[in-house]
Amino acid sequence: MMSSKQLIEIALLAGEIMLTNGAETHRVEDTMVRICSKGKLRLAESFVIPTVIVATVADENNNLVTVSKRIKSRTIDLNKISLVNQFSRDFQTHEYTYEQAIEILNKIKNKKGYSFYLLPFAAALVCCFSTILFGGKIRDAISAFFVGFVTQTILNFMNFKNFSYFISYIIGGSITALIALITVNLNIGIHLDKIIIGSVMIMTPGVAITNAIRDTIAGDLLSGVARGVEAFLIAVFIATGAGITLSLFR
Amino acid sequence: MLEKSLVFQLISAFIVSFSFAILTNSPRKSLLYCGINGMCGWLVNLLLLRFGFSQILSVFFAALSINVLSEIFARFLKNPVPIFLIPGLIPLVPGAGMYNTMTALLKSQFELAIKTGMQTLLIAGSIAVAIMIVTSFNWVFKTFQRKS
Repeated sequence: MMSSKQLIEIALLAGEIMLTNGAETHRVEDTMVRICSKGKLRLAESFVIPTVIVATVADENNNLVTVSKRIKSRTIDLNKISLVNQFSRDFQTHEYTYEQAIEILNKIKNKKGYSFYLLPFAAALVCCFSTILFGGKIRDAISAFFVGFVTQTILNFMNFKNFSYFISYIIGGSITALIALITVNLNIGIHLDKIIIGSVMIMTPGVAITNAIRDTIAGDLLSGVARGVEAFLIAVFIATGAGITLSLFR
Repeated sequence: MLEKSLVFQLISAFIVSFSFAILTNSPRKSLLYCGINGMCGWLVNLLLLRFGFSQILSVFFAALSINVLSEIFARFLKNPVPIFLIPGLIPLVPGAGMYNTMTALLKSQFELAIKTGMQTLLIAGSIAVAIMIVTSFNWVFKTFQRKS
């Protein structure tokens, strides 16, 4: 039987992994409460917004434990969310000891995503084929392939060096426009606008938008608004970056 | 000729959603379903546009079908819904509208900027409303199932 302190540590670690990798806040709250419901607790509450986790449990003797965790860096790794989700289900049915549970969660936390070298190719494919979806020709798609490859490589590098997302999206947008201009001048691509529209797709804040909507319906208005603003700002940053380059080199 | 381009568009939508799922590090097993999701949404969008629906309405119904499919996939594969939803919605994101708004602002054509900006916001809003409808119906459904 786990003590309430150990339970809340497990719940906090699980919540931290989910929130840093882009889960909705109500999903994080549900998972933490579900993990805490394994013990004989009188009270288990959690409050999560995109930057902070706060959780409180009280056992039968009314010993209150409250922990809070500040989330500073946020990335996107949906695989980890899926794994923690699976873990929280297993945790209810299986009898894990404290050490086992922490070990499993740490293994999930340190899990590597897809290979560093695969990402630029995936990004290049996204750019290439979304250019076609927006009505570009084959030659536009080929130049969008180059644009996506280079942009994602630079974004990866900036992510690795922990640039703030404000700077990395402005630089990303301007590099996209710059390389698109170069390819058009080299006579590889034809329509500049189609290439840029297709290539900006790799930076769209899809996770932020979807989470903002789903959080809002779940009643987490604070998180919904915060994420909505984040998504809107990212779109503005990308447009700013692309706009600067276009107005400089036109 | 028309049918050939339709097939080509559907394959493109599949690859876009599939590759975007790799960018968001989705689980390996779900990649194929993400691609199928994006393809179905784009098919709905194209067909409705061809029947003469407005762009906003066809994006709305496309987002609706993507969301329903994501809920179904999520049930069967025991994964959270957003894993399938996010890559599926990517082809519908109004990138062209945002770009046109930006270039209109650069040329100081403010009337055009407001017009295209409003249209972009409406398309984004219709995607949001589609997600809201399906998700909240699903949650009502779940609570009924739990009670019975």
